[in-house]
Amino acid sequence: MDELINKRINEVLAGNRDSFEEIVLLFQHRLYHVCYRMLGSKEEAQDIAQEAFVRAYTNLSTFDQKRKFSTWIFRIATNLCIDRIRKKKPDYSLDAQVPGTDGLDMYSQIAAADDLPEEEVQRMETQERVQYEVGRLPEKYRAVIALRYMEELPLQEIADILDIPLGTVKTRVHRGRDALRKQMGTM
Amino acid sequence: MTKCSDDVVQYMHEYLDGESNPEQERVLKEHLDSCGECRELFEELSEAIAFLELAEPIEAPVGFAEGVMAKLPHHPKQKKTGGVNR
Repeated sequence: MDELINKRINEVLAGNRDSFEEIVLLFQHRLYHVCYRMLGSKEEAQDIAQEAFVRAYTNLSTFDQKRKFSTWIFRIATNLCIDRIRKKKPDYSLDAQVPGTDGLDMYSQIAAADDLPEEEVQRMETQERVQYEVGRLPEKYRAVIALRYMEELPLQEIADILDIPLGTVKTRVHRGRDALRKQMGTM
Repeated sequence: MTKCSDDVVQYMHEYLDGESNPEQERVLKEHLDSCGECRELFEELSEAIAFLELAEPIEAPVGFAEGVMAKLPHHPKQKKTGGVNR
């Protein structure tokens, strides 16, 4: 797989633009899927996943062919998703603690703000409900949960994609699972 | 959250990540057999994972790749490091 991709990459770098389409076709579904899980909107997922490919094309000469292309393209896409999520939020520091709370930061406040009435959640179809619950997770947990459980990637690869230590990935998976458990209450 | 030791909760997560060793699993199992509160926490975490695994893969829409190709600039940036021409 990696050999084939590097062959295509070298063709693109040599001036054959069309070879890039083959790279897009190989990764489009996985990339779109992760973007959709992180953003919760099909339009935005398409927008951001396409932008990730455009950036990969533009910066293709900087890609180190000794590494995995999938890790690189996922990193571009998850960074774009995180930027998009942050831009949609009002202008305050997400890590700032909320006054008068015991160590709650803005992440937890935002998650809570998205709550729907219980009856409405009960009426949701399974797929809608999964997306709703994932969408309520704070973004730093959402990324690892999407990569771990929707893309089924190994923890080390998630660490490489997000450019954070393996221990941090584990902590976020643990906290993400625990946050989800609490969100769902008794199902 | 359970009153039991953080180690037990940590073992649960390592087990759920497929990263625990047999000794940790033995300790965890013994504890769960005797502690209803931790057993409930463990079941809820397992249910949360099972719930996530219900998510069906979603495919990129038709025309996605053509859309990317239409948005590409004419030439990718070349490395500015100079050196050998191909």
